Amino acid sequence: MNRTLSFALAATLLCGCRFANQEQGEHKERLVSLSKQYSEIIYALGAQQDLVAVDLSSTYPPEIRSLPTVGYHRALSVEGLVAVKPTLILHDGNVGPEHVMRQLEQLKIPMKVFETGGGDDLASAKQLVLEMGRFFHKEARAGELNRKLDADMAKAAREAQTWKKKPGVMIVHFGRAMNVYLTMTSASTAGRMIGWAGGEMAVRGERGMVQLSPEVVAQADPDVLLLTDFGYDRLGSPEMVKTSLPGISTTRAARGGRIYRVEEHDLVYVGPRTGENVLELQRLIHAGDAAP
Amino acid sequence: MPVTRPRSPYGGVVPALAVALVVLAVFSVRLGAIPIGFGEMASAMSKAWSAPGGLDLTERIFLEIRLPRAIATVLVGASLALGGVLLQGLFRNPIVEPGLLGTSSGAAFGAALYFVLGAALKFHAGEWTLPVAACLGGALATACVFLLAETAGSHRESTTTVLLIGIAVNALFLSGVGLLAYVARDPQARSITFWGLGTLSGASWRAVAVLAVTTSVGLLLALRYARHLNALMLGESEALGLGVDVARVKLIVVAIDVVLVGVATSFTGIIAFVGLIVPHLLRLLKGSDHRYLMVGGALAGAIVLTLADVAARVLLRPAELPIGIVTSAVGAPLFVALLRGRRERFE
Amino acid sequence: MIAADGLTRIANGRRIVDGVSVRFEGGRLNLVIGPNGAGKSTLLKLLSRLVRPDAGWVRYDGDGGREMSLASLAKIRAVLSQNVEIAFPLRVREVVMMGRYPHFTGRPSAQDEQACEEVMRLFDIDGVAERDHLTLSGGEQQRVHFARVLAQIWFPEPGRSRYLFLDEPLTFLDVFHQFDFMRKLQALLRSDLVVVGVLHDLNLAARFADSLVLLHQGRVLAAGPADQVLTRENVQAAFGLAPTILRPDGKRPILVFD
Repeated sequence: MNRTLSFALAATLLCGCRFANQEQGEHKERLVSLSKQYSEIIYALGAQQDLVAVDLSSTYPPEIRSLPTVGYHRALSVEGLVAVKPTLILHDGNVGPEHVMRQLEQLKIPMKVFETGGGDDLASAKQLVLEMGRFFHKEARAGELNRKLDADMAKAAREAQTWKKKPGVMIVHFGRAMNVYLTMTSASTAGRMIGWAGGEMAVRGERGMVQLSPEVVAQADPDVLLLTDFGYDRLGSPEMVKTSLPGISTTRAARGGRIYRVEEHDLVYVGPRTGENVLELQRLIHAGDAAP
Repeated sequence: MPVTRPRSPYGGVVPALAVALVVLAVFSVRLGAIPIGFGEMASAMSKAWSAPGGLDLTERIFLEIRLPRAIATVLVGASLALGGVLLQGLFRNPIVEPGLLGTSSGAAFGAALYFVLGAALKFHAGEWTLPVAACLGGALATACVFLLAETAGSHRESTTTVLLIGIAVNALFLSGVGLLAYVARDPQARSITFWGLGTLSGASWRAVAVLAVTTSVGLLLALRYARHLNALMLGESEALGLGVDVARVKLIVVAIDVVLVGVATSFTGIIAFVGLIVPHLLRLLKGSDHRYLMVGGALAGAIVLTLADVAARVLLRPAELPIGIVTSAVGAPLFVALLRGRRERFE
Repeated sequence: MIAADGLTRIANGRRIVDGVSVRFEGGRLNLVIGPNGAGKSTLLKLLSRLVRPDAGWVRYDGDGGREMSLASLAKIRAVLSQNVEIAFPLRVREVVMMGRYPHFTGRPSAQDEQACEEVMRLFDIDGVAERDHLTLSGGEQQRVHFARVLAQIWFPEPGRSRYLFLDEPLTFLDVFHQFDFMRKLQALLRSDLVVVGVLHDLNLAARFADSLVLLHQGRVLAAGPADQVLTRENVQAAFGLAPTILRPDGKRPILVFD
């Protein structure tokens, strides 16, 4: 019960925060994006003029926050979606509850899922960019984005060769649905990015995230500890992190003072900026290592 | 010597409730992110018969979303309130209701089990599978409460005992739901957590069809036992002395309660306190005759839930508050007040 | 007339009623007395056929070969248990009308209304007929239950006697109402009405009983008229306290304990 209560309260409170904005201007097409990945790519392609509303988790780029939101993508309400009078709803299949999607179909509101599935690897990310580029008639820009991505990733790969060690990295995330700290595992998208950045995820697993516990921390004993934005800001500083989270203070990361803040939306999906993000991660996790 | 039959003291309440219900239901249909006027409602309904392809968005919202939801709210409210009347009559206790005694959480558990296992077993037997699974879960939980109450010996009539047993059974089945949500694959898990606090947003015409059957059959059947429940108010021994087959009546009434609440819960999740608030208010208003409580209860329950649904949709517009939060926010303080009043009088 | 032979009821390994054989006639005030735990309430439940005996039988005169259904039995037999507690607000008239439930299925008939009016007047509660019974005093509530129970068997069924069982009916009544009730009961006696009551108070039992059964540890210690049953030896054996027995009018004994 606790979990559902927190979940529902969190969802409704979050909705309350971001429903204040009014939409502006006249739109011929009225697009709603329910995927943060799609939202970022739309802006990167420069195709955002018809975007009228997004879901709560679409937080990049910063200008997207001026758009009204329709709710948390897993706890949508039909009225919330219908209120923005969409002509097309874009989603990646990771939406709920099921009956809302069914009701939208009954209302004959067009919905689209891009064919390129939700892969968390570079190939499908580039494919998605191309597909969306075709859809929005921004093929040229799509090509540019992919070339930049390739270039950045190549640079990252070269840099990775130069470092002798592969630091063990642990990424801690605050799960707002369950009000607990979680740690990302090697199976997550972030895990991949760490790999590209020349590091190694200290926590192995099959699920993308596991609950943070002293056993998990002790077994991982990371060299570098990263916290995503919300979770880090809750605690405030590396000292608070060391004291509040169980078992952290005895890790190599804590002793070496290597606790850093990262943005969640940089880590959880592969997109046009992933190359830049990987380079940034690389810098972060190798800082303090002996120079080649 | 002829005696003039006294005028029924319960007269007038039922028609008043019926009128209030119709007014509220219409009002509720008009509310939402997009207000719907009477003209649009009328045109939507006439077009539904003649030209179903030609409906515009507002008309479609009315026919596919608002109308089934309003009707489902009425039926669920009636079912829950009636469940409360039945359980209170059975336990001879005004402080019990399906939410407190585990029927709702058992039903939620049954439904959640169906969500999780049904997908795994690829089993699907049409519209009725989910409600049936919920009823089985509700029956299991209610049976637990009854059995534990029986073994409580001389204390079994005590409010405290019954409520404590209800808390224990509730906790058991709710943790079962939590466990299922935890192990479930993603789409099912989302459904379970979303609907755990009660919501009418999933109402569809199919749900309305099932609910219409169970609510009307449940009410008609319950009315046949109104007198028996009246007699039961005197005590089991006294009821027996009046010719009531107590064991049989208990079984049938519990079965009706489980079906009513189980089916409702399978569509909406757990909505608590309606079965507590409504009979209490009705008794305060006019008294405890069960025919009055059943019919009045069904109507008043529909009214209460319609009001709660309006609140749920409007307070954080256009987001939706889970309706279970609204009913609990009102019902819990009332429950506490009831407990205090009772303590002063009896214990 | 009620006849019972070898009635036995066992619960938790104990013989609460052990081989009791009695006979109660109509038109007489039959009372059962005994100490706490003697099995009086259980015996009453067995005699009123609310509970099945583990051994023995109960027969009412006019019983055919087949066992009567619960519903038909309720038309000729009324039982008032100890401590009837109703948790809900109900009008006095509604409570009394419940006594007529065995006689109608839909709405009460004029006859049912008449029965209720008459019993309410008899027990002096017609003035509070529209009040919530929970607002009445303990004694008034008791009278409401008397009314209900009598309403149940107010009119005779053709060809059958009627049976009235009362378990400790005087508990909440003050002394005036205790005597008042016992006198009303006496006034109601008829040959086709068998009354069996359980009483606590030995002197009231002595004063009003036409026949007494003294129960002790589930068995009949003594049965018969008051002066035969209420002897110093019997009372000492059953209650563990020896009384002084006075007979001011030479007939009915008065027991004094000190």
